[in-house]
This record gives sequence, structure tokens and C-alpha cells, in this order.
Amino acid sequence: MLEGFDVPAATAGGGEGSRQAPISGTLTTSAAYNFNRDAASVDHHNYRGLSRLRLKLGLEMDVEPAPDWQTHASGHAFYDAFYALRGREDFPGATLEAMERSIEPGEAWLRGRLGSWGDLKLGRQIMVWGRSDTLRVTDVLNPLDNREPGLTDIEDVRLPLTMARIDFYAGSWNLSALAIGEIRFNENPPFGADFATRATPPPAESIPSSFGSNTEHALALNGIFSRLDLSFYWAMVHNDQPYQTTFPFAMRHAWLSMAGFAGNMTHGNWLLKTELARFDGLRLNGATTAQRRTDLLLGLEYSGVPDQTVSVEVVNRHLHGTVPAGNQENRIQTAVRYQGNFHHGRLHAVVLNTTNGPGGGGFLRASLAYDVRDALTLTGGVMVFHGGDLDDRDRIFAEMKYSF
Amino acid sequence: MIPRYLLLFMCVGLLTARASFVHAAPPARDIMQQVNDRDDGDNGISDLEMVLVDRNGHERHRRIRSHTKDQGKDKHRIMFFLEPADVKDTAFLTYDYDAVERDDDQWLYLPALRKSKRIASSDTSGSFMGSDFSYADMTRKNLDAYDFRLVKEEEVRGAKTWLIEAVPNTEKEITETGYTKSLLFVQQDTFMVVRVVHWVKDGNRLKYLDTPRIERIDGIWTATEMTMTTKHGQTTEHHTIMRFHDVRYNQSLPADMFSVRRLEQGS
Repeated sequence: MLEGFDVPAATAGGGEGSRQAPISGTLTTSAAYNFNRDAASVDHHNYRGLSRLRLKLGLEMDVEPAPDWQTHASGHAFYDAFYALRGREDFPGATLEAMERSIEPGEAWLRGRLGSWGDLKLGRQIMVWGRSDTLRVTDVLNPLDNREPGLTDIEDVRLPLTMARIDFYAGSWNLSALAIGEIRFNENPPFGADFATRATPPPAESIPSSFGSNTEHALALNGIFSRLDLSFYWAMVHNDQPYQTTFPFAMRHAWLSMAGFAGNMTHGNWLLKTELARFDGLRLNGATTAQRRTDLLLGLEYSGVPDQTVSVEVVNRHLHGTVPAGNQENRIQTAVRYQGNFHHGRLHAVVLNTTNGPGGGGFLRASLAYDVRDALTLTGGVMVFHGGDLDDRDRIFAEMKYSF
Repeated sequence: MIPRYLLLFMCVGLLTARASFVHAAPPARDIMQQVNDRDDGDNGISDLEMVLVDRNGHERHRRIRSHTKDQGKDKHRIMFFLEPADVKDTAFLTYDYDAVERDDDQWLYLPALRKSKRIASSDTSGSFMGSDFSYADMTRKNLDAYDFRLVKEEEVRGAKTWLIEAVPNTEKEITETGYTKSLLFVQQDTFMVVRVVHWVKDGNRLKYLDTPRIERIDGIWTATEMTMTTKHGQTTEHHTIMRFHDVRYNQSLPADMFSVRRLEQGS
């Protein structure tokens, strides 16, 4: 037993001499196969069988122009050969424009340290609020890429916005103040896309111009303590969810104010998460006046089994006052997530199940990722939708990702 | 059959030998206290290269920049992952509290999520970055949670060591570290633990920690290479090599280096 110390030698890696390259990125090929769709759906676009065959390149660049100052730029581009294979003429122009190929400039920012008391960050960036991992309550600043719900790379789900951010620090507290000039909203599936649910094209979306009087403002006060994190938020932003107007016939985005709170507390292997937010100025289809809504999230995460985590999040979204037709006074959403790492971090398993309340559907997503070697990962999984408008979008998917 | 007087003679002989050895060496608990009290450096910076080797000899490499600072009896540590590319910019901050009743504070920054996530895990038996080292292996032990016994003296690479058995005296400690027993080789002139055998709670496995390279840096004895091998019987299941480069102590590390602010800003 005491003779067990003899082991074969391993090669040296980068060691002392290696330095980080300023440019890094990922090259990803991915495919999806729909196994539950009709041959020709209501919009006559055939997404049965193979529905994605995509090559994607993501690039990032980090440069430090001076001590305590950093710049970062990123972006990605993809081409999906599925449309050419299936016949481009079968798809609307809007679908091809958004889903066949895309060049997406990402973040581009300059960040610097003003002193021990503060930091400044200028440019196109992503600011994540809240303590939840799956369901959003106070995370209202950056829009989302919803074109393929549940299938978008996690690093690309949030869309960056041009903003100025200043942070002040005092002891365990930090105050963030933001001015968001760029007006940009969620990217939803275009008419005719695999995940589009409308049988007719939607009305034109009216996008307010960026900067000037449309500039959005936000404040966050964060406290970090032993076993406890606290955050208080306030934001005056445009609602990412549009409402429909009749005269003119259009989709508009109303101003929305949010006051919220988020907290984390640990106890042994348990992490308690909570978020609370009140929204004023909510405009809903069918309502003549603005509504008010209160969202409450409770979450629990358990990490007591080595290399594995289970978490549950529940949100109730409560509409105050008269509830317009087609809406619910209380809408409960849930998310249950299991995450496990096996074989010394080579095999990663994730299972996520979400529900969106009565009629809202949800999905079960299960995936296995295997690190073939450093920076090369193969992923495969299944996504099953239950209920709601996306009920027949079930699919299996596979991905090969190389990071450099 | 062994005659009864001979059996008695053997027992007395064994007891005498054990009594004289124990008499010459300090008690095991005192040795472990000296191990814990040993100056292991403060305000330290190092680059850590980690090589993960599976049973077929396939290697994976990790590179981490680590900063540590003592805050009284507590230790603050921040680690920035530099390589491979798919974990680049991930960072881990931990406040390792000396008090046994107090769970460590831990945060993980995941660049894909653009936010720091608090980690709640008093269970430290999980793998550190897929290696054979667990989080428990990276933190100091609370001596009160163990019963120590001096077993014998051994030579390791020509240096005299005390071989000390450490058995957790609570189920909680076993659960949190994942070890039911450990044998520690403590080098007598430096009070460094130079080898350890761990009995893993689950799976009938043994883990072997070795420190093939030790250097004196800024007057502090430092293990600049460590290996951890997981064995099932005679079979090596997995093996990890940690090499520390560019180790420096007594650096000017401000307290806000060990903060969520810094965690999100990178190395």
C-alpha cells in the first residue's frame, strides 16, 4: 500500500513561458433533427427531419492598453446549410435573412479602474442582474436571442447594448449606475422559421431610436457578505415584449419601470435564491391602460453530492388590477435543473425541465457533453416540448465545438 | 503452535519497541500542530500548471494563476483559469475560514454567463477542475476534527519523516472530505507533509499524494510539484500533476484583489 506512489511521468504543458494570445474563439458545427413535426406544417415550411446544419465561428479579442485598463471585442458569424439542402425557395426571405446566415457584432467595450473606489466601463456590453440561473425576474437590461429557444449557446443568449456604466465601491457595498443608449429588443423567430408560432406575419415592429430621450437608466446596489449576497435594483427601460396597437397597426415597446431585490444565502450544501420585482407601465394586448405586475422567485440549489448540483426555481408573475383577456392573474413558471460532471470533468450531463403555467408549455432538455481532448467537446442531446405552441418541435441535436 | 511464553515475549518486545519510539518522537497531535503552524507564505502569487492523465495515458492540460493572502487565521484565494481555451477567464474566489463551524465563502465567475455565482458546498470532496485533487485537498484541515497516531518513522527521498495516521472523528468530516483515513508522511526537518495516502470513502479506492519537488522560495519551503494518483487495487485509474511556476511571496496584494469585483475583471 505504501508502495503506490510510483506513477508515469507526464509531459510538460505551457509552463512558465506560455502567454495568453489576445485573440481567442470557437468553431462549432451543429445539427438538429426534428422527430415530431408534420411533413408540412401550417405555414407549409418543412422542418421535419434535419432542421439545422450549421457552422459557426466566434471570435474574441482582449487587449490591455494600459495597466488597470482593458478592452474587449467579440462577435460571431454562422452559416446554416440546412436551407440550401432543403431548397431556399421554400422559405420566406425573413427566415433566410435571420436563420440561414448571420454576422453578429458582439461586445466592444473599454473598462478601467478609476481608483480603489470605482470602475468605468464604456461600450457595447452585457450586464446581468439577479441571482437566478434559469428564470428571469430582475434581469431586464439586455434583450435575448429567442430565435431558437433552448438551443442558443449560453454565451450568445444575451444581446449586448451600448451603455456607460460606473461602479462605486465602499466596504462590502457596490453601487452601479448605467445609462443605456442603444435601443434593441429580443430577437424572436421570424415568420416562417422553425420556432415561429404565428400563421400570418406579425405587424411591423416600431423600434424607438437609440440615445437622446430614449436613453434608459438603471441603478444597482449590491452587498456581498459572508454567506449572503444582496442586491437592490431600479431600472427605467423599454419593455422587450411589444404590445399590439390598432391605429396604427403596429407592435410597440412601452416604457417600463422596475424596482427589485435579489438575494442569495448559503447554508451548508444549500443555496437559497430569491428575487422580487415590481413592474409599472406594462402594456398588454387587449388592455387600454398600463398594468402593474409583481414577480416573486424562490429557488433552492443543492450541491451536497460531489460534482453534482440540483436546483429548483419557481416564479409567480402576478398581474394587479383588471386582467386583460388572454392573460392570467397569476402565472407560475418552474425550472428544475440537474448538472453533473463525471470521469474527472470529461463528461458533463445537464437536464433541464421548464414549465410556463397553464397553456404556456415548457420543455425538457437533456444533454451530454464529452471533452474529447483539451478544448474539443462533443455534445449530444434531446429536447422535448410539452404543451404550448411549440409542442411538436421535439428534436435531437449534436454539436462539435473547438475552442482556441 | 507458538509456546505461550514466546508469545508473551513477542508482545513485550513489540510494546517496548513502540514505547521507545513514541518516547523519542513528539506526540502526533503536536507534530500536526507544527505542520499547521509552519510558515507557508503570505501574499503569494503563482502560476499553476495541471496535467490530468487518464488510465490510457491521455493528457489534458490546465493553467491557472493563483493569488493567496492570509487574513488572520483565514486564507483568501483567487484563481484565474488561463488555459485551455474553453475555460479561459473562468475564475474562482474562496474565503477559507479557520473556524470549523464556519463554511467557506466561494464564488465562481463564468464568462459565458457574465456573472459571478455563489457556490454553496460544505462538501469539499468534489474534484478540483476534474483533477484527482479535491477541494478538501486544497484547504487546511481543522486538527480538532481528527485523531492522530504516530505509526513509525520512514525515509522519503533520503529525508526522515514521521508516518502519522489521521482518522476523522466525526461523520461530518468524513462526508465533507470524502476520506475515512489518511496516512501522512511529515518531513522532520521542515514539518512539511511530503506524502499522503488517503482512503476514499466511496469506491474502495486509495489516493496517493506525493511532492517530488520542494524548493525554498523567499525562505519558505514550497512544494513546486505535487502529484495525486487514484488507484483501485494495483490499477492506476487517473493521475494529476500540479507544477507551480514563478512562485513569489510577500507581494503587494491589496485586499480588494480578493473580491467579486476582481473576480469578474480577470487576472
